[in-house]
Amino acid sequence: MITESKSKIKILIADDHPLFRQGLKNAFGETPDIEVVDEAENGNDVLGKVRDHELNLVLLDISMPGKGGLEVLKQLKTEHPKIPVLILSVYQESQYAIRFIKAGASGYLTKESSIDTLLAAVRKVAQGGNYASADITEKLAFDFLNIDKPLHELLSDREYQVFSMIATGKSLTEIGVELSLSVKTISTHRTRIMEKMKMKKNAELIHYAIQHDLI
Amino acid sequence: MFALKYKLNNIPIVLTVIWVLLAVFIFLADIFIPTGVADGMLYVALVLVGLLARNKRLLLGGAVLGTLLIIAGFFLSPSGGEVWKVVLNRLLSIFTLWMAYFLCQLQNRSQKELADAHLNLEDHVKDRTLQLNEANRLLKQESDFVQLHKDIAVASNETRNVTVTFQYCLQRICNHAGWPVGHLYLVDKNAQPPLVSSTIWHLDDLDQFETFRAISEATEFDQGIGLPGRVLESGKPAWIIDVTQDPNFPRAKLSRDIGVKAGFAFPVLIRDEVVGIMEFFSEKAAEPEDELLEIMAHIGAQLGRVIERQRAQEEGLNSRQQLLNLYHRLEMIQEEERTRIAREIHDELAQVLTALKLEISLLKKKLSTQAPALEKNAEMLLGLVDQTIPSIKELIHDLRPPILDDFGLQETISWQGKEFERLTGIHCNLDLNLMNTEIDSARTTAMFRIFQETLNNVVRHAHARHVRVNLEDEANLLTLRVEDDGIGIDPKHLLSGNSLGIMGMRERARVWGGHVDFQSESQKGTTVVVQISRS
Repeated sequence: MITESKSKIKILIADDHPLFRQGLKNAFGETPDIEVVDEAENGNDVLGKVRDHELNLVLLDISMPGKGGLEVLKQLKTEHPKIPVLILSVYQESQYAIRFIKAGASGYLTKESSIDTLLAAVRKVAQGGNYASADITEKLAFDFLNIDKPLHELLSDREYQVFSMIATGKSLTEIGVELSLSVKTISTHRTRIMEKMKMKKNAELIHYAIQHDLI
Repeated sequence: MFALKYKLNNIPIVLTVIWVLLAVFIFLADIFIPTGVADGMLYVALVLVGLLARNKRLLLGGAVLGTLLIIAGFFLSPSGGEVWKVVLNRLLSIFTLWMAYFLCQLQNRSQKELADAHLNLEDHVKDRTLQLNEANRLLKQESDFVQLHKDIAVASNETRNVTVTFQYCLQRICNHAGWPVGHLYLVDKNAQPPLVSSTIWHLDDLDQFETFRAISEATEFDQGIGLPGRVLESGKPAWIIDVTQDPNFPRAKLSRDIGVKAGFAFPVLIRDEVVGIMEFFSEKAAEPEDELLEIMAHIGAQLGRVIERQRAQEEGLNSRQQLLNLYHRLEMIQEEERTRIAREIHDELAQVLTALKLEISLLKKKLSTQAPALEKNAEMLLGLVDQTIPSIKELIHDLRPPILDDFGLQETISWQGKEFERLTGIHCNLDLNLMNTEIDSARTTAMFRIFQETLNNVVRHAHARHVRVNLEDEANLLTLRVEDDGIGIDPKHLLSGNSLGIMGMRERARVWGGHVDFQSESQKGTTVVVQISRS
């Protein structure tokens, strides 16, 4: 019994909707291995209650009143980096999923997912795994694939334009005049280009351009 | 004394002397020549001298004296023949003398008539010249008035601003009348007092009339008070010969010397309503000029048009502004309402549905072991909920996509572009380059709604296969550019007030200091450029 209770997944449910929390509790109550140790109904509540328990997982709804979901997640991950967070949201758009996964969530699940999917996700994430729905995984995979693409293909049209001009040795002022944009704007573009291409100096950029036959 | 007397009688002295000498000489000659010789004829010379002197008295005197001397000669001259011949001789002389007299008299008279006629003619010519001059003067005055009228008419029909128009008219009337000061009052019926200086002046000399200007602008006029008050009351032009002597000219009492004397004013009229008053002043006292007052009455009606037009313009602008405000307000209310309903649906309905789904799933699970016969029913319920959830989500997105409030403009446009591609099959290429994603919610909403409307237009009208979306921010401007490769927009469609969608886009942008431009060529696609300020 003791080992069994020890191996139980202890979770905190954070959702502002009591009906939904009740539903979740019922669902987890039916399982032998998942135990809901506490509930929270807003961001601050979550941060407080996480400290009170030893948790294996936080099930976090992202649209609660008060602090935004993303902020709660970030704070949670800073304060308790080891506790995995599974996002449970009504939004199925990949933008949300990607944003939260990048911010440190271990999984992203929409609320309309079936109960089996939910249980599977909880178990997987509690064990240190990751979970996302098929289309989100696909999207994330493509983002990942992008890394294999030549770096300059990550640039937007405007950024590529500025990139080419820097590569031909034009100063930021000259580029600004040519594109009728302010030097400040060009400089911001350059910063972004450097970030995306993981470069530090113009020389690297020119080197890259020559290597890839871009000029 | 003698000479003076003759001079006074207007007879040249020389001729008088000759006349007397002649009389003496002829008489002496007669006395020594025998009576038979017709020397009495010589007395005709006296008459001729009278004629020469153009003097009636000398003429008549010559004839009378000649006659007397001829008769005297008859008795005094030595005898020289038969008595009847001598008498006949003397009578013929007398006859000739009087004949000459009468002829001279006739000559004199006709000459006098001629002179009179001359004089008459001269008078006539003088009269005519005077008449002509007067006619010329009137003509010039008339043509000056006509020119003035014309200039004012042109000025009041030009669509310059009211101040410039009135400034010009004041100057023009001052020039016409030769008066150095012109000033305009505007009438505000609802204000108390109703007459306020427009501070529009014409002053020939700024320094000279500074006191008067200052006093005038500081003085308020009620109906009937002062020159403008009088005109306001009567609705007719008024003239003051000397304002310093006039009992109803309060401005004259405010300074020892206000620098003006004569004044006239006339109303600017819209039909019977006095809407403004123009007053003019001279440094000198002057009598009323009826023509001037009359012409000013006409000009007043003419200038009324200017104010009438300005009022109409203001009214037009006001009602347009009100419409815009109303439109903006409606948009805001609609957006608020959409946000509220979307939130409500999300927070309540969607949550309940998801909870419901969870519960039914649990129920179904339990039923599968405890009452398998009912499992089908639970599955059907689950199916219903599953069908409902997507339509609820769609509803939320249609109302206001949550991503708009959560991730801002760039992400929302990106999402909307992808949705558009998914739903319509039109390929959507996104090039979004916002530097600073901090854009306030109202602007984000405006830009997003314009973007949605643009995409709507593409789907409905463009027959496009590709759309290119570009979002930039430069300095204080947000620029969204949507290009399609469709059939283009008919320019007529852009201008007509019927396309409410396009009008709505423009108005939304205008509220944020921006604009929407459509560049389109038939069969060569359309580019919509939306620019709004960031702050």
